[in-house]
Amino acid sequence: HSRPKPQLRTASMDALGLSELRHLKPRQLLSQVLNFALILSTAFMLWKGLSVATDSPSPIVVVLSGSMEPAFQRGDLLFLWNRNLELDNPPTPGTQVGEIVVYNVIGKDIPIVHRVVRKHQGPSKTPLHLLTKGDNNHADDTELYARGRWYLDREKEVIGSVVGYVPFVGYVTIMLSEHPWMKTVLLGIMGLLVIV
Amino acid sequence: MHSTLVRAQNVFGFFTTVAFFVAGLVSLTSLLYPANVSVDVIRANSVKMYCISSFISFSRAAGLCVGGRAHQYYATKVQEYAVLNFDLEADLSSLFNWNTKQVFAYVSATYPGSKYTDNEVVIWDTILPSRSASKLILKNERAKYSINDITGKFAGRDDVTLSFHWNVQPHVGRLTWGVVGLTEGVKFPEVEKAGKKSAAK
Repeated sequence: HSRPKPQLRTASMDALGLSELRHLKPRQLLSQVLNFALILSTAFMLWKGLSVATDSPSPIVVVLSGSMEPAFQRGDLLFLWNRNLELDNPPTPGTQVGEIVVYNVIGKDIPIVHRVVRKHQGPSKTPLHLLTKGDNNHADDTELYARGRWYLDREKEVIGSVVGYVPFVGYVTIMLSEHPWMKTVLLGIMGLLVIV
Repeated sequence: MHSTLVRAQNVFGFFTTVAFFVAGLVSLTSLLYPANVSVDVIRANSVKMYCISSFISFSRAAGLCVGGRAHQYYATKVQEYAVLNFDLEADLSSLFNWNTKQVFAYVSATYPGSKYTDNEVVIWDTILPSRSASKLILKNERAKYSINDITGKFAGRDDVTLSFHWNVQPHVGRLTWGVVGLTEGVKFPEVEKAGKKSAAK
């Protein structure tokens, strides 16, 4: 004994040949759009929340080069923690030698994941100077730093030190960034799945 | 409900769930694994100080840094560097479990200073890919990396200690570090003059 659902039927739509659209239910479509937007914003909130919790602008990074092999391969996922600056030198020591840090050289865009091989720190509140080197590289990273600088500043250039590791999972992002046409294909497929 | 696409989706979803749980179990159980690393010997044998400068003739004339060569980092200041020899005997086999991908072992030298009070430099490292390679016996091993201080001059500083660290790289999960073995303090000697080969302790 249910009421028949109201159909959207106008003469103009029939004339335009869009008669199929009468089966479209605007409320359902809108709620699907809302769901999609909720999923997107939840993912964004999770990302930004993780960024705040770890105090790092990019708490999860993908390994791009092979300079840390055999520990890290291209496509591995790394979880960063950036709350170990400890510029008040004692009592808690900050970033130690042997930790693996991710840094952006000032003026360059690519994050580099290498191990700290040297550390020099003055009394509290002074910068912590670090020198890094990839395990698979013969020489340390001095050539990669900005001109005239021989050490990294822990607070300004390092975006976190590695605490967790998951293999392979990040290879999707590498493929997407190196083959941009795959992004459009992926978005197309996702769009089709929503509509169908 | 039973189309190929839905089946493929279900299989993929199940795969990711199982993979997630297996990875979680592997990483959590390996964290509880007891590790007992023993270091029998760690000792600094000799420390030699050298000096490099890009202005070799200038520094010779000024009486600084004799026996230098061109600066390795293209800077113009005079730079002293130290090379250590050390003994090490350590057994890292207890660190290898189902979740160990490799162990990165390194020896670092810690020394004080006036402008920079905390200095630590890695002088030697190695990658241990498996349990069979995890027993280290090094006698009078020359440091892989020389020490040069951020200020450039550090001859004569006292209380230089060596420590042995390891870093376990898992297949999945949390990276762990450990340190053991601290030597007694040695001293950075004065810069060696060219022609005199003396080993200072």
